[in-house]
Amino acid sequence: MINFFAGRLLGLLSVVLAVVSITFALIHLSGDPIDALAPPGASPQDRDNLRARYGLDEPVPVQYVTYLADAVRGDFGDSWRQDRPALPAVLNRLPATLALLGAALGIATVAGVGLGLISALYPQRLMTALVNIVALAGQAIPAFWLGTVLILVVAVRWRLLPASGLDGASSVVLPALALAAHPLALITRLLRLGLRETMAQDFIRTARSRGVREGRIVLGHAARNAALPVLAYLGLQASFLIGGALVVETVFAYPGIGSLAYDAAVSRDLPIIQASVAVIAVLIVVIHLIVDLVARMIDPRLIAADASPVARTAVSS
Amino acid sequence: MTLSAPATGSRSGGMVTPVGEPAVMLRRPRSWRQTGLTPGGALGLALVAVLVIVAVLGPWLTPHDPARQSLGDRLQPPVWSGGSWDRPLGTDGLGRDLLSRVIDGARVSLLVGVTATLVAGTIGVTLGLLAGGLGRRWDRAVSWLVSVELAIPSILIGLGIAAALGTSLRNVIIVLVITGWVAYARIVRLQARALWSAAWMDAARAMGAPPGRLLVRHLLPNLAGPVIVVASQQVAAMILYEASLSFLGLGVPLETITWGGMMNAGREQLATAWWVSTIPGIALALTVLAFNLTGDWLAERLR
Repeated sequence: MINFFAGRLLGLLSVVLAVVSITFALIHLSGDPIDALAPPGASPQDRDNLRARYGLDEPVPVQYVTYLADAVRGDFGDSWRQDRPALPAVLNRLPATLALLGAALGIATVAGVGLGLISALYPQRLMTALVNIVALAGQAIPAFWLGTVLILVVAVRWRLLPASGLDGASSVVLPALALAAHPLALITRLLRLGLRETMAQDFIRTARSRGVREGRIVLGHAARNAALPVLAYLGLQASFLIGGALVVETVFAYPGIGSLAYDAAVSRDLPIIQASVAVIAVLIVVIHLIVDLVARMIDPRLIAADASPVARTAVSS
Repeated sequence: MTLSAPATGSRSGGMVTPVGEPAVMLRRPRSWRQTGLTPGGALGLALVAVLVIVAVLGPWLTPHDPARQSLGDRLQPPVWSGGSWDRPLGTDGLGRDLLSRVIDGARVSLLVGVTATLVAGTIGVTLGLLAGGLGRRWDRAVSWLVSVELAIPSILIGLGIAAALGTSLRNVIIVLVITGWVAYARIVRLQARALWSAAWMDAARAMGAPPGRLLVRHLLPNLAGPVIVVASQQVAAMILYEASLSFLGLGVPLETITWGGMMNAGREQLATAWWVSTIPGIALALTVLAFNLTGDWLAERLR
C-alpha cells in the first residue's frame, strides 16, 4: 500500500510539473507578452524597463528554467496589475473557495444519497419518475443560471439571504446551492444505478432469505457496495465541480479563487492566472489521492489489488 | 459489444431502411415499443430537431432584426406577463426583440458545439486508438495526458486563453477542443483494448494485416456506437462551456449574439425585468437537456 501511494505520488508530481509548464507557455502564447503587460501607448523605453523588471528579456529557455525553479519554491512572480506576489494572493482566496466546494458537496451528498436510497427502497413508478426529473434537471441547468435565479428569488424577492460577497456563513448558502445541483444529479443517478445492480446479486438474496429487513439490506449491505463507483466518479468530476465553482463565484461576487482568476483574465494579469491554475491543479490532484484513500477504507479488496479507482475510472468510464 | 447498424440510422418517426434490406422492413412499426424509442429519447430527439431547424433557418424565422435597438420598446415583458404578441418573449434593456435574439443565439451555440465536438472527437478517437491498440508505451503516454488535462478545469483553460490571446470564436473552439478530447480517448482506449483479443481481430492479424490497417479498418468501425454516444453527450457539454465563457464575457465576442452573453447582459435588470436573463437560460437548459436525453437513449440503444 505504501508502495502504491509512493508510485501515485510520483505520477501526480509529474502531472503538477506538466501543468506548471503549461502555465509558463501561456505567457508566450501570444508572441510577445509585453503587449499584455505594458499599458497601451507605453514608450519603447518603458516597455524595455518592464521587460527587464519581469525577467522577460532573457532567452525563453532560461526564462522557463527560472520559472520552474521559482515555482517549486512557491514563487510565481508578481502580479502585473497590482504590486504584490501572485501566489499569496491566490492562497488568500483558497479558504473561501474550499468552503464553497465543501458546502456544495455536503448538500449534494446528503440530498443525492437520500434520493438514490429512496428510489431504491421504493421502486414504484411515481418515485422513479420524480427522481428522474430531479436528476435530468440538475444536469441540464447551468450552475451560473441557477445562481442568477436564486439571487432573483431568494435574495432579491424574499430577502432571505445575501445576494453577493462573503459575510458570514449565510452568504455561502446560495452559491453552494447553485453549485450543488449538478453533483446532486450525478450522485442520485450513479447511486440508483449501483444499487439496482447490487440488489440483484447473490449476497443480497442470501440476506433476504435469512430474513433481514429490506431497509437494513439496502442501507447496510447494498449501499456500501454501491458507494464505490459514486465516489470514484465524484473524484473524477472534481475538475468539473471546481470549474463550476469558479463561474458561480463570479456570479455571486464571492471572494474565492474563481473571481480572482476572472478579474485577472479580464485585466490580462497572467501571473495571477498561472498561480491560480497551479493551486487548483494541486487541489485536484490531492482530491484524487484522498478519494483513492477513502475508497480503500470502504472496500478493503482494493488494497490487495493495489488499484486506484480514480485512475481506473479516469480511463474506463 | 455488438453494433446494430440500423440503430444508428433510425430517426424519430419510422425506420431508415438500409438499401437492399427485404421489403418487410419498410412497413411502419406497429407501436412505439418496436422503434425502441423511449419517451425520454423521443423528447430528446424532437428537441434536437427543433434546435437544428431553428439554427439553420434562423434568419428566416426571426420576427424582428435581432440586433435592432428600439429604445421606445425597452424591457417589454413576455406575452404571458402582460406583453404584446408583437414581442412574444419581450425585449431587453435596449429594446431588442428577445425571441429573435434567442433564435439567433441558437446558431452560435450549435455551430460551436458541433465544431468542437467534431475536432475534439477526431483527436480523442485517434489518441484513444493509439493508446488502446499500440501497446504499453502509447497507453501510458495518453493516460498521463488525460490526467494532466483533468488537473486543469476547463473554465480555467478558458480564462487563461482569453487572458493570453484575447476573445474570439476561434479561441473558444480551441478551449473546447483542449477539454473535449479526453472523453473520446477514454472510451475508445477501453473499447479498443477489449476488442483487441476478439477472434476476428486474431483472424485479421493472422492474414497479415499491418498494425495501422488493424486499427483503422478493423477496430475503428466497431467503435462507432460508443463514440456516437459520447459525442451526443459532449455536444451538450461543449454548448454549456461556450455559454459559461460567453456569460463571463470571455467567450465569443460581444458583437455576436450568444445565449451566455444575453444572460450576462440581463443580470443588471434582474430585479425589474427577470425575463431578459431567464429566457436565454431556459433555451440553454432545454438544449442541454435535449442532447443529454438523446445521449442516454443512444447509450441504451447501442449497448
